[in-house]
Amino acid sequence: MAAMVLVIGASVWSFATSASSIISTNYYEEVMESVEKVKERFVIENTGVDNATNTLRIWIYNYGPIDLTIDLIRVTGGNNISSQSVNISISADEFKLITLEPTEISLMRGLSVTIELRSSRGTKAYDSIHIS
Amino acid sequence: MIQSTYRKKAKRGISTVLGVLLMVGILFTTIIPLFIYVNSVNNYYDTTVVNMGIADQERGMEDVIVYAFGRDESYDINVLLVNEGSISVNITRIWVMSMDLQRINIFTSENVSAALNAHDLPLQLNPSDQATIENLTLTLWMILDDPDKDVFNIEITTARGNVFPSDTNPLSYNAGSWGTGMNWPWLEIIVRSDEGQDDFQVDVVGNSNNYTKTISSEHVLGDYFTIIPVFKIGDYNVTVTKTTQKSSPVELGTEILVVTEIYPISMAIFIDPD
Repeated sequence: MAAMVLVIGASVWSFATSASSIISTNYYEEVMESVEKVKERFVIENTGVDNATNTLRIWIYNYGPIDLTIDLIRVTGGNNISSQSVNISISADEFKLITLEPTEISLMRGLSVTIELRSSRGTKAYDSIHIS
Repeated sequence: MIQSTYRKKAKRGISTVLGVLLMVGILFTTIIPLFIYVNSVNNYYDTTVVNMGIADQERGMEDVIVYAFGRDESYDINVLLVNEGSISVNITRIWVMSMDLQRINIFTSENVSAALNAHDLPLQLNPSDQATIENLTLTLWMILDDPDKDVFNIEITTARGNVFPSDTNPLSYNAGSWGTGMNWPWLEIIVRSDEGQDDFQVDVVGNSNNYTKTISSEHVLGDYFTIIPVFKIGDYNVTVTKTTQKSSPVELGTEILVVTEIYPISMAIFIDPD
């Protein structure tokens, strides 16, 4: 009887230890993902236009304490939407210029343009300009 | 016979004790450490949320008033900055952007220095502090010598990611002269003072109209700067009084400013002898 208790107890102990280890690792990783999302801060500081090359110049400032990656830029102008997948890393406290050619949109005078940036963690930043 | 029964009962007891010991072992080596670990991870998350909340709150407390003015006969711009907020700010960049967003000059720590521009960037401004970044020279391609296109918006950005536009936007350049987007005249008052903390009162009285205005400042460190709208051209008496609580009010002087046009702004400089 005692031997059986020992064997079953040791098995349960071993299972509990490994399960606890897996649970704690998974939980830590999930919480750290949430923490990084909470820490993420960036802003579109300003936007410029180059009519000649139909190019947008977007200055992004990462004012948060952690690095981030921009993975989507969506530009809306009139009834057209230009969506581009990108992979642009921006370090903490870095100020970066992105140039973008929204192929579906002609950046002409009188057009109001909305720019949406999305980071790999799902945080978004917006800017609107009117091309005069 | 009695002994045999006792031994059997004693053996049954051993398995129970072993079971309890194993349960206690699992409790102390697995469940309690897991509970403590999860709690500490949760605490870290909560601390991060609180810290970022404080950072966001501080960001919302920033308030900088920006007055940008062009310097005639040059491509230079002066930017006067007043920290009206209750928190220190770090000015990191100054933007000069044409209205059509085609031409943009960015002034940063790389092209602004104390030697050339009176202050370095980033520039820290404590609450109530004022500073003027001088002689920000636009690159030649910014000016097209076309009055319709040489119209600029000026903005500043802070280390916390805020953007503040100039109250004098837009600035326009035409044949060597600069104008502002202001619709009425303003008076620019500067009090040169030492680095102590002072309070000032500025009284403006219009001689040719019934305009009166009193502006009080509190806890100014060093020079004090303010601009006051007067809405009409005319003559204005400007009196500055030092009202620091430790001593009785001291009048620093009175000047008459004759305002004949909206721009350039009429300016009076007072000296605080203490």
